[in-house]
Amino acid sequence: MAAPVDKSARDNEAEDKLFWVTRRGARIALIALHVAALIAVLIEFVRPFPPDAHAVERVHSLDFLASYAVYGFVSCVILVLLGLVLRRLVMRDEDYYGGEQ
Amino acid sequence: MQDDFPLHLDWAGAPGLPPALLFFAGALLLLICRGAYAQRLQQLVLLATPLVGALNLLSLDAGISWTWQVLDFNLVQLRVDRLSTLFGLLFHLGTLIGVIYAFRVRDTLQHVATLIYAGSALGAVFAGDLISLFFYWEGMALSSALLVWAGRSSVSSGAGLRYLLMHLLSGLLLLAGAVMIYQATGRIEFSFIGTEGIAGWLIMLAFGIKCGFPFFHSWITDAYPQSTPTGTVFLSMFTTKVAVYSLARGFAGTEFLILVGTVMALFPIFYAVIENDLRRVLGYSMINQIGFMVVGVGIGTELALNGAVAHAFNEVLFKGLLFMSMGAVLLRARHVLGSDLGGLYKSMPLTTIFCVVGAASISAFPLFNGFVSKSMIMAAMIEQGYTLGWLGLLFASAGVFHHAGIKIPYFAFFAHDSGLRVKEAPGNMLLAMGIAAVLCIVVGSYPALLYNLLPWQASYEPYTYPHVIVQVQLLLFSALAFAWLKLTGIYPPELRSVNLDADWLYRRLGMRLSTSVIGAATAVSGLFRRPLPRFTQDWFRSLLGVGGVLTRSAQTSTAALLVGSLLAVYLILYYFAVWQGT
Repeated sequence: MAAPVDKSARDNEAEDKLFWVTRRGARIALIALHVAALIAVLIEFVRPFPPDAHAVERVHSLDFLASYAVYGFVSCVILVLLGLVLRRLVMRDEDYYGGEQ
Repeated sequence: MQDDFPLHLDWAGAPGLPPALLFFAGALLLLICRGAYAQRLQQLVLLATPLVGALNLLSLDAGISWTWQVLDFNLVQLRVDRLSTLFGLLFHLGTLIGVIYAFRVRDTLQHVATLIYAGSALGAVFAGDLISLFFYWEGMALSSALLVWAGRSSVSSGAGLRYLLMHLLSGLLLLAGAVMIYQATGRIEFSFIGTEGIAGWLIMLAFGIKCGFPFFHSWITDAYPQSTPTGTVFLSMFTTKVAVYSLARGFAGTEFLILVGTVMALFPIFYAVIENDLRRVLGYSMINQIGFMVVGVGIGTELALNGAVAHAFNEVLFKGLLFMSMGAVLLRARHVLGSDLGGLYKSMPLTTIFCVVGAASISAFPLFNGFVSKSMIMAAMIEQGYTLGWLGLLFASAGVFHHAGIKIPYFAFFAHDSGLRVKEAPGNMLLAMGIAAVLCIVVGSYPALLYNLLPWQASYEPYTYPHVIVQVQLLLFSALAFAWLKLTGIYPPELRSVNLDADWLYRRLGMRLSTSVIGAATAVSGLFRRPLPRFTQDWFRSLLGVGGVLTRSAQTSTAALLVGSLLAVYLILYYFAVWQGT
């Protein structure tokens, strides 16, 4: 038995769909995310890491300001782009295994 | 390794039973619960088993006991040290949370299979020899396959069979390796094995299959999504963790595992991005997390091993929590397809909160438990100079946040309003999720609670200023990338589909090959069904027919001569065999 679906709610909010259920919610979430990300970088700018920080935080290849921010952002973009390529290679119809899935 | 477990109870009258026995006894009790109060009695047994078991566990003294002499083998049922006790405690805790979650399930098969499964897992971590380990290994395989089959659909039936075959293969390799070690050394003790001989490689592969090594990982993503909402929670708790324990016991410091673990941490995140079934996404996420643990075992320093064990402990909590939240969604919405969900936070607010806690934990946000264990492995990796592998794990960390930290809660509870209006999860499920969520936060906020229980002595301070800042930067900018990719429409939409993975090798390619082989064999056998040529028939008749050479009565002296000749041949062969051997 399928779970109940409130079609009227879905139709009413169809115009409002964007990113986070509603346009307003999306806006708030986006602003909060950008502010938090900016603060995380500013903190390092204002107070650089001490020289005796653990080797993990001072890996030579990532020893520059906001390096982890850059690495995280670039990693996720690469991840999604490669995911798109992978989808082209491996995606098949839902009943590929005789509808087992 | 330190021996005494910090939470040890000094209880003079403690029975000191192997933990597995209590769980098997619990399973038997479940079977005999009959009558009007059967369900209540079963619930009582389910709750009492891990609680009584924990009291028994914490009263066990370090050392070896419960040794059974079978033929020439000393089968050690109880080897108590900090490593086995920590995993024992973890499995008791996991069982308790799981039985609360499954409290209202009316399915004796699932309950019995659960206790046998948990008992077998406990038996494996306390087994002191390879033969006992093998029996518990197979016990886990059979009982956990029952949990997959508990889905009671044609899909779960096929997935369960494939799951069982893969685990039986693992058991076969373990047994073969154990026999080879016994032949070579005359010992069956389960301690450090290493990869110096073929036996070591066989056993490592046996452990690796249960760990989800690349190309042997598909049983996780194939079977876990097909079990029941409660069954998958238990499945996620035991098998892979026993495998990690076994690797830590038998192959600590094996460098090859660093490579394998890094690959395990990396490749599933790409699949997770494009997978639509959210429980399968968690399956890929599980392989990714076990990859971190395998790396820790491969590095083999005390910090790395502590990190691997601590991460296994934490993963039971946060992955269990995520599977529980998706199980609740499955129970209420009847499916967990990202393409058809969304907006459920309105209907299931508490489940949403618990899922977000699980997501934050697996993503290693500060104050959540993933942060305090994953970073131990990363730190150990840098300390040992594996910079390239470390960069790979950092990439995987960002990827984990992307698919498990964001994708799971986002597509289930937020995204767009799917119009689904369902009830909140039942109270017992919320309680189980609440306990797991609180533990995720408590362990993450007070890591000393877990660190004090770890087997090896290695100090690590996760809450330093630089570590917190770099982790927050990594995660927030990963989230930013997700948001921008989503807004620009680059992020791949959730689609109903099948993604080919390693299981294609046996589900499609293997099937085609076997069909071809069977066709060829049938054709060849057809040749033999034709009548034989005349002279061949005469020859067979003279040999095997009435009065033929091999069917007529022979004199006693002829028979004695024949037997004597065979004996002589045997003695000559034996002589040469022994001579060759010396």
